[in-house]
Amino acid sequence: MSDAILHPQLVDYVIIAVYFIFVILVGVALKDKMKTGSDFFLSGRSIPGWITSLAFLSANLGALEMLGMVASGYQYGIMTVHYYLIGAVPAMVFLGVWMMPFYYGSKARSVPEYLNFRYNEATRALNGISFAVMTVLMSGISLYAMALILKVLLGWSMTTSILLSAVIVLVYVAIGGLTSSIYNEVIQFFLIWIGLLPITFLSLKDVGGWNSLLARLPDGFSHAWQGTATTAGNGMNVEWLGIVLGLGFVLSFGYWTTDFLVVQRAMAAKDMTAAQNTSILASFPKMLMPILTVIPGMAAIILLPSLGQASDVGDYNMALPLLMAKYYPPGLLGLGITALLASFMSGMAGNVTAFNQIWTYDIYQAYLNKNASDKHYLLMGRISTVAGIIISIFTAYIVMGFPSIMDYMQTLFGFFNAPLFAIFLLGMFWKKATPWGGFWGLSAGIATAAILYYGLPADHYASPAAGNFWRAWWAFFAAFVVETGVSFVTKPKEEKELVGLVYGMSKKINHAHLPWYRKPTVLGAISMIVMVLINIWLF
Amino acid sequence: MKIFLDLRVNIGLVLTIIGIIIFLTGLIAKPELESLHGVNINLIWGIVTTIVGAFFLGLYFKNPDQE
Repeated sequence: MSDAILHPQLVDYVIIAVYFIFVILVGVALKDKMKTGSDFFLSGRSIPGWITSLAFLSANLGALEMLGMVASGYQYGIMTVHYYLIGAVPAMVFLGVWMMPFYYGSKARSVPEYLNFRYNEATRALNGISFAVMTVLMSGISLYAMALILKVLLGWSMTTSILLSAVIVLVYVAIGGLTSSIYNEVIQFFLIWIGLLPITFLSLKDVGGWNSLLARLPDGFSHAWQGTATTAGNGMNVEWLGIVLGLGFVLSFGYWTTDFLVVQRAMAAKDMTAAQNTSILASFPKMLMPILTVIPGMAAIILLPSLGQASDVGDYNMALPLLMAKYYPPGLLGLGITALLASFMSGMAGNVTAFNQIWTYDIYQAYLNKNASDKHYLLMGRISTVAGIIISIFTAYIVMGFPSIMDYMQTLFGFFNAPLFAIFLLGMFWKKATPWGGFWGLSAGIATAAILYYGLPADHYASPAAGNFWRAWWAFFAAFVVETGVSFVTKPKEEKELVGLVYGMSKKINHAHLPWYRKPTVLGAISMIVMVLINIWLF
Repeated sequence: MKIFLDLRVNIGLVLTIIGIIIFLTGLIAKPELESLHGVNINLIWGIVTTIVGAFFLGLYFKNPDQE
């Protein structure tokens, strides 16, 4: 225990316990509401917009995100904001304004189910199965990352951490379903802000404020775009076109608009307007997140100068915990640890709730047991929650050996999400895209990503980040081209089968009766303007 | 149990309770960490956390039926 970074005392454990008790209470309180499969998997489509928005954002605020982004701020400086601005906002607005009408309006219960409606069974199977596998892997990564952090931070054994958090997540998801997960994500959102904001204040104060921080950073760390004319001009080793096409377009749209983990939150909203506004409203706090991640990461360059990929002092991913050790006394430390634990656990719960639904509706109900009762599927949801967590635990022990956790995460996204976005784009906006076009497009995209990943030498791209951006772009491109080509030679669906699924084939949604602050188009436009302004400021 | 179905109550209670604990910790003893330069961060942040928590409880009590 003696070599741990943090030394929590009784008061800290009391604070952590308060949080654990509430997590369980929320799950148990929701138990009586979970009467049908729809309650368990879709929250009965009854959640108010502000809650789904924060959950939408928090589902992406896992521990990997937080630690990885602080690490990225340390490694690359201000360029890390691209993940929060161009790498998120346009996609979130696009999802809300243009895509959500088809998702929510089609009454599909999941992303793969939409693919089944729009394309065919094979496309759904390909997406459903690959998503289920990827989600369980991600869940295992979260668990592993958490256990590693807790070991270094608190001296807890990895097995203790893994089992403890797995059991707590298991209890509240298996009892309270998606609603429980969403509620905890919102609580976590506030815990993260309250729990980590003092680090930003105290570290900024120590480096002499914002302007002084920028002045003291190495060359190229204090501008978001200025060094991106060439790959050599910036620490991330990626040029502006890679950022725009790879991160801003393909990776970001692929993730935010098709990843069921986040889309699931919007689908739980109580009506179409709330569903549309879910991702658009979430884009505002998203733009504020760099305050908690990028700023402390950059301040750590000065405050904790000798972090490296595997230095004795700690690797990049330890930047946030080390700052916490530096500034948090017993008391506040409990809150800081709780914020991290909450983010670990809700990240995992997000994966588990997405997994249990895809498994139950898109694999089990679709192929293994078509006509069981609703009660049976509800039970299957709970069983698959347990199974998903057990598989995650095994995965946790397998994950090792990538330079930065973030890159690993994006490697996986690049394989699956970028081509998926291509077939969504064609499927939603081109009625002549055919069922087999969709299937072969998706397959070709995944194959392209895999071939590029395994076929090219590791140093082909200037950095892992650049590799991810470009791989995602080519996977998207291949999916797009192959789907278009195959669509010309195979039979399209009849128009009447596409009602509600394709642009131009469904009723226009009328927002005229809403006040301006609830109109998705107005909110989306404001969000985009704010994003552009921040980019100009940080240029 | 039913009161825990309202998210405002949950957020409010978690933050208020944790805020008060941190505040009291700061009240009893000043943190000894060197890098704080004498700032009693527990006292300050305990108050902030409690206020945010109380704000959410206030939202609930102002309009208990509607989320």
